[in-house]
Parts: sequence; structure tokens; C-alpha cells
Amino acid sequence: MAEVRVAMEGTLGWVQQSGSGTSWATASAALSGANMAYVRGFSYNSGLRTVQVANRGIPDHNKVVGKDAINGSFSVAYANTADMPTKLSATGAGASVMMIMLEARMKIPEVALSAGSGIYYQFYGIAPVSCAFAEGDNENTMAFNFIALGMNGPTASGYLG
Amino acid sequence: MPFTHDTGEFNIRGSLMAWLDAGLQTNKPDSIASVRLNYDHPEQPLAPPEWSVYFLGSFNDPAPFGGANVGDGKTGGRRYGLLEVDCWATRNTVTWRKQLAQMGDAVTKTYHAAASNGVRVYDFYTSETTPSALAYRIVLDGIEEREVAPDPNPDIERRRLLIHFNWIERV
Repeated sequence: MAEVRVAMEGTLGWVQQSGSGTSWATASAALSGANMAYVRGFSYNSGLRTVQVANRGIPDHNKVVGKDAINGSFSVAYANTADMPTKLSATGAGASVMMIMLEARMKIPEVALSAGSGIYYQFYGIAPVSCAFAEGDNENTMAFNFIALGMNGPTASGYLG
Repeated sequence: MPFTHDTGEFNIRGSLMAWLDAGLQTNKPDSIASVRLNYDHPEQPLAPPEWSVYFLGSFNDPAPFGGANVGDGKTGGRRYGLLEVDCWATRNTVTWRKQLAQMGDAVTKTYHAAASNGVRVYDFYTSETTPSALAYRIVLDGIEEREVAPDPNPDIERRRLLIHFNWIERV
């Protein structure tokens, strides 16, 4: 049985999205160093809208009638570098809002012969919903809430590493 | 390649001691011009009036950053530490109350002078006598005074101040 993953084993990377749609779309190679530093509390929520179909009053099977938007959030300790998506001014080609893509990677160091590999979750077409600054005793933080058009994961290959 | 660790505890200890010594020298009360900071009590005997300093250790923040990423491609985490600064006086001196009060004030003044910017980390690994400045800092979290038990020597009076601090250890 595989080991459970903890926050310290995961990284969150970001890149500006250069196209519209629900797949990985960047103009060129992914940015290097896109991993964000000082990240805490990454979470996302994705859902399928399902209805139950009954057969003569007794639940018989489920039917997917739609997908919900993917909502998520994360918090970054404020630094003076580009370790977080602060500059969200550019819009992706074909898109009317500024968009980024996120990739969450969980390292799986215990898997034999796969050093450096990971489990990836990718989020496409992310519009920043809110960005909240807070002063703290030990660090100032910027909390981001986002909404994504689509996601992929878990998968074994990542774009941002 | 000699071992170095920019934000290792050795550099943090050295930087805090150097900062404290410089700060206390600057804020030395006129009435006790001979007072100095004793780094090595109890190996070095007390000669009141005197300050002494002890590094009480540090511990890691139990809430890590995601991936332990701390910027510039480095990994690490926040560590919290405690520095004890004691003020010592002897009742053989008539003005010991004044001495203790002023020595304690010198410590809090030194602390608050650095509270806004923090204490810069210096590289004691490379040089213990002329360390170079690093681009890291120690954040000062607070200062408090703790009551002390009566000294076994009835002549000795003491004030005990604890400085809380934190820094990010990066590798």
C-alpha cells in the first residue's frame, strides 16, 4: 500500500494561460521556476451533478447531468519575488479574462525506480475570483480564490515538473 | 568545500549575539558605564553589574509550506527560537535597583530598535571575526520578563528577559 501524501511533499506551480479552452495551453515551454514558494492550504473542490434514476420507485442507477465549476484556494506568504501570481493583468488569447493554469504535484519518492516522479493535478482556464491580503505576526499572506474551467488528474505526467 | 549553512542555527546564534552586544553597548546607561555582556556565563564568572545571554534552542514550525518551498529554489521552513538575556546586579552596590532597572531598559530599547527591520543574518561560518552580511533576517516576535527565583547568593539580584524570534531556515 502506498504511503499517504502530506503538504510538505506537494508543490504548487503556476503559469499564465495563453489560450482559451479546457486543456493545457501555453504559448511556449512552461516557465521554469513556476513553483510557488511559501504556499499553505491549497485546496480544490470539483463536483459532478448527478441525478438518480429510479425503476418503479426504487433507485436503479445514477446519471451524470453536468459538471460543476472547479473552485479552489491557496494562500501564499508575501515575498518580494515573483513566487506567486500577483501580476494577473494579461488575458489569454481568445479569452476575455486573465487566466492562469495551476499544477499541483505530489511527490511519490517511495515508488521504486521512479525517483522524482509524482502525482499531478492540472487546472485549466483559471480566473482569479478573489485575492485577499492579510497582515500577520510572522508573515503577511495573500489568499487566492480561483475558479477553473476544467481539470485533469490524478495523472502521472506534469508540465511544470 | 568547507561546510556552510547560511541560515543554520550557528549563524543565527552568532548574529543575535553580535546584534545584542552592539545594541547594549550603544544603550549602556551612563550610571554603569562599566557594564558588559557576558557571552559565556556560567563558564565565565559573573562580575555584576553585567548582562548575560543564553540561547535556549529552537524548534520547527509544525505547519510547513507546500513542498517546503521557500523561494529562490530553496527548501526549508520557519523555526522559532528563544534567547534569554539576564541582567545581574549585586546588593553590595547601593544603587543596585537603579542598575537593574536601567539594564533591563537597555535590553528592551535594543529590542525595539530592531523590531521593525529584524536582525540581519551574518555568515559566521565563513568568518567568525568579520562575518559578511547575508540577505536574510531574523524576525523579532516579542520580549517578556519572567520572574526569577531568589539567587542562592543573597547578594545577587537578577532580571530575566526572554526574546522570542523566528527565521526561515533555507537549504
